Amino acid sequence: MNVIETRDLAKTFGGALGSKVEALRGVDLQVGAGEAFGLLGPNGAGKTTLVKILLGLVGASDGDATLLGHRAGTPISRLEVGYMPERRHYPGFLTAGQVLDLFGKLLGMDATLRRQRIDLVLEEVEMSSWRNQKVGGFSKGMQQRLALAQALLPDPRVLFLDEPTEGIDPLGRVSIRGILRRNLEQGKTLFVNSHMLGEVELLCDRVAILVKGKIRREGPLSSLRAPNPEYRLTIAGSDEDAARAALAAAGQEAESVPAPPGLTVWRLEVGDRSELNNVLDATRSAGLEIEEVQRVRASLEEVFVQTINEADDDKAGAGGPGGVQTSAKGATEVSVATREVDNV
Amino acid sequence: MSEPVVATDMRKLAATQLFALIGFTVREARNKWTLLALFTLTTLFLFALATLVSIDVVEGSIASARLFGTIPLEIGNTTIPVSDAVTVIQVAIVSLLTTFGLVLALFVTGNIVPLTLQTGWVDLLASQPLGRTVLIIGRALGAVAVVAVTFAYLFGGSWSVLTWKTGFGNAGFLVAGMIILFTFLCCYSGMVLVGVLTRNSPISIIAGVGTWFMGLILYPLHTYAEWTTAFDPGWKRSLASGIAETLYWVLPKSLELTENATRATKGDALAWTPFLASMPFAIVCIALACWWFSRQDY
Repeated sequence: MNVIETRDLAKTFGGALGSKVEALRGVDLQVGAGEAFGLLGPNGAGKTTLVKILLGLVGASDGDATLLGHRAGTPISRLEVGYMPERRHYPGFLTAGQVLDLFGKLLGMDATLRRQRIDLVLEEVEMSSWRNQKVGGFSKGMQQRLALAQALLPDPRVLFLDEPTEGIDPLGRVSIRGILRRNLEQGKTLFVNSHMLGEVELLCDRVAILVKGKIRREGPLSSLRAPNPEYRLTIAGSDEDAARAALAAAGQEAESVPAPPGLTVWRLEVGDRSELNNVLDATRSAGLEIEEVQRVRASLEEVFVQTINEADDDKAGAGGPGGVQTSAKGATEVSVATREVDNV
Repeated sequence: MSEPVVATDMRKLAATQLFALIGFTVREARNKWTLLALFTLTTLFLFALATLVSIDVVEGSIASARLFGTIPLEIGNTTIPVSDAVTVIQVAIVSLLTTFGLVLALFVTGNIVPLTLQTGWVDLLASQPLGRTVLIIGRALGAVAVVAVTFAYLFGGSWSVLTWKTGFGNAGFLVAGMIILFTFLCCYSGMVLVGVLTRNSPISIIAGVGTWFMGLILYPLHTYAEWTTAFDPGWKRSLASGIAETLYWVLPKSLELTENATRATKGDALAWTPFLASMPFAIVCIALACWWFSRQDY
């Protein structure tokens, strides 16, 4: 059963002097119960707009969206939903306990249930000792934990997390990731909205890449990361011509890559495992010794950058606020991940 | 999955949310020094009323009055009925409250709606299973509750002290308190609308105080038509008169409501037209605020 569904969802914001900016352009999306779904995209791609439409904070210009079987944006659709927004502000005069108590009341919990749930969620985010501290004195990390506690308060079936680990130190990230994994194990659906690819990669099992208000790629993480299997073959000996001839005999126009002395290294693009074995047989038949075979998986970062570049090339996709902003922030995040290599 | 822990009866939930928002607004107001100052001043005033002046009442008239229990206040040979003396004090209190008290109340509550719409806070509130109308009405009612509690303390306290000291209980004084609260409600509704439209506290306060002040100056213009003679006869005079009359009928009648509060204190009959003519402004402003708020993207 899908807990989130959008059909041809569009949002156009009216700008100054009558200008219009398209934030979302026909988004079709389905997220099933218990899934950890990551919505990726550069800054300004429309990720937050999509989440806000689902939560009723922003009205859609066109299309349909449902959340837990109800029309998105209606109060009833938000009954079993937790939301941790990227930008949040809690009144500084309230303590952590009072913030959660207010939200418990807004969820219609009675006093006993509120007390139980507040104890539980504060413990879950490791903030029990901060219960009576005023929020005004909280660090960013503490506010982040409080926001997570508040999102978990209704024991939600769906948890929306907008940049959940933004600005958090590495230990804090590990901790938040652990909390989210535990909730995932309990059957909750996670919808993670982020431009931090590493975080999404560690948490989600299915992702969509949103660029310029359109979903350009979507699928299980594993399939997105390895659309065409690629291998790296290391052959003993320095005779590059012999190796190239052997690979050519197997139908491979292999590309040589820099190698240590006494070895040649080749990049192979093969359709499947049997094709790889044919290449290996041909190499050995030519009297060459194989030092190592490695499978190279495209990292999510590469898929992400490629998707953005494709979108840039798409003339029809030009303009709009969802336009890809190759901002310093986006570029920094993208450069963090590395290409992954598995030994075969 | 476990059973949902949240409420599922949406009507009951809306009522709970309304009370939660009112409670939160009262808590928020408690953290403001202006309200604390107002309560402190009221307490000092009540204390002074209870202790500074000692009155001896003989057969329904004031026989003598002493300051700090010892310094005699000259009454002379005039016989002052207790009811008159109490009414004069209460009219003075009402006069103060219909001016300074109302403006102060508008200042204290002026930022409640803009604070609700602060980026980051509105996202958290509006993403709850909460209708936007409930959110704005809850906050507005919270502001009214804050002012109502303050007025109740001042009016109830003054009434109790004066009744205790003189034996004369004037119920009209309490009615005057409710009239002033009604005047506040009318001006505040304008402030809610402007708060939702602009999300700006100073502009909201100006709108609320402006609404009250316009009511003060429009009544004389409505009553004494001679002012239009300042304009040449013809379209200019018609335009000036038309603008003044339109504004008079649209905006709350703060001066006439003030007069009604004084009348109530004196025990005179009330004029109902100012109430009936002011109420539509409040209803339309709140309805427009809810409509606008429900259409906005946050």
